[in-house]
Amino acid sequence: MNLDWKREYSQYHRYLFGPEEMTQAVEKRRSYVWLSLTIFTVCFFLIVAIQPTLLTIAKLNSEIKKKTEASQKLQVKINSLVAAQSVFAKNTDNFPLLDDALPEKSEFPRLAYFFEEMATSSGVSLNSLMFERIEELTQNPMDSALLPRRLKFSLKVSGEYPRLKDFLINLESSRRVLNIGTSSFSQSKKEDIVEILLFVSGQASFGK
Amino acid sequence: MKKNYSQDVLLLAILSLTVTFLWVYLSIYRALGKSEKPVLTSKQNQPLEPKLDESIFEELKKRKI
Repeated sequence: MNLDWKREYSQYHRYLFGPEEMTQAVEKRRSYVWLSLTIFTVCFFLIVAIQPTLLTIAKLNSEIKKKTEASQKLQVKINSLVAAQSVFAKNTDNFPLLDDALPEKSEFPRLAYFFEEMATSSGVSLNSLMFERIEELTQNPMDSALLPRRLKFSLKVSGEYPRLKDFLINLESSRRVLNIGTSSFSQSKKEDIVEILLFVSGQASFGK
Repeated sequence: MKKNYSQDVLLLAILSLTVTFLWVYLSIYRALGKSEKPVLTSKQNQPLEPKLDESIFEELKKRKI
């Protein structure tokens, strides 16, 4: 008898409790679907809305950082410029001296006058003075802007040895930048008078 | 037995979310590391030294012409 109700229970169990279990399974399935839909929606908005926003924020942040650094550098440079301006104002009177040392043009008449003046003050006679043709500017404008150009000269003076030596020393006291390449002494005999000759060649620099 | 597809869909959604997060993170990381055109040129970056050797003027004054 006991075995009968058990058999019957197992036989009709799904009709008694089936609907409840089915409802639970449907609810569970529905919750899974809704959760999946929610997650997919989050994914969609992450890609479409959040990612571009975050990208823009990141780009703007890095741009702000870079521009702040640039601004600081420029501020330092502005401070340097202000300091340089005050240094310039302080030394304005001295700048003609720089033009004397490195003039913009060759100014060979002035150089000739200097040699003549030095020869007179040293007590030697200036026998000859030659200036070579000025070199052409190089093709590269950067090189020509940076490097000073050169005016080649050569001169011959005669006189006594100590005076020639003074002349040479005086040449080195020139305000104009001179590069003395060679200097050589020689003797010449004119009508039984022996005179010492000094030959000097070099370059005078000028800017631009 | 009837297959429960809803669990598979959920798993797929979670995977998608993970991939999306990873993608967003990597794209932001790449955007941060990407070097763009510098703000200042190399010439503007050069430091400026406002120092002048004033003794050179004294030396030039002593020289002739």
